[in-house]
Amino acid sequence: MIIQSGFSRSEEEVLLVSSVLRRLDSGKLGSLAHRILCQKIQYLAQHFKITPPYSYGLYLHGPYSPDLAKDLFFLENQKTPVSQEQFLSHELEERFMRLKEFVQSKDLRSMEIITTLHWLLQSGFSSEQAILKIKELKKATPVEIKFAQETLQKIP
Amino acid sequence: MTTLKEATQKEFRELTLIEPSLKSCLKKEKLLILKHSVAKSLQIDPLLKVEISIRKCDKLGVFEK
Repeated sequence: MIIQSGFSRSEEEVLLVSSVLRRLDSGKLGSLAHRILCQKIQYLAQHFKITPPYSYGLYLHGPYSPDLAKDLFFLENQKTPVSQEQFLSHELEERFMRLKEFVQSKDLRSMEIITTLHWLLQSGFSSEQAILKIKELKKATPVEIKFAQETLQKIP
Repeated sequence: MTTLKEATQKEFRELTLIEPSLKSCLKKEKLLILKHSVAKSLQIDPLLKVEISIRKCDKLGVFEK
């Protein structure tokens, strides 16, 4: 596979990530909130298996991928047109619609808490440890934690 | 020197070796009927890998006769 310099992966893969972000009214990089949203949506999108996976670490605002940030900035600087076409495969498009439904009903704070809890559990934290950690990191309330736990069930 | 288009064509043909049903894509353009069983060795979801490859082929005009 040909990897173009400047991207951490192939341009086509980055274009697909950007396409999914834009179809979900995200992909803007102008503010911190926009960038956090991009990170969280891509985190979810790769777990819904509609975008290639990036490696995420846990940062102040939850899971964050430096490579994703770099790729999105590089793509923006290139001014490459990003299509917003549907997936060719019905199954991928159905996965996209499930992600869309998941994302549409969440604000940024919810997304941060949900993805942080998910990341902790995926990284081997027990449920109890993850809850303690999320209280410490995000100052999450019991209501927010309960909502996040219920919502996690919808992530494939 | 191999062009990007040729390299893409080669990459796509390699995918068709893994999943023979993909060959129809070259003849019937974007008609894509795939199963999950493409290749377990691929690092990403096979269906996604194929989607990316098809998009790349489209962009480079690989399907044009």
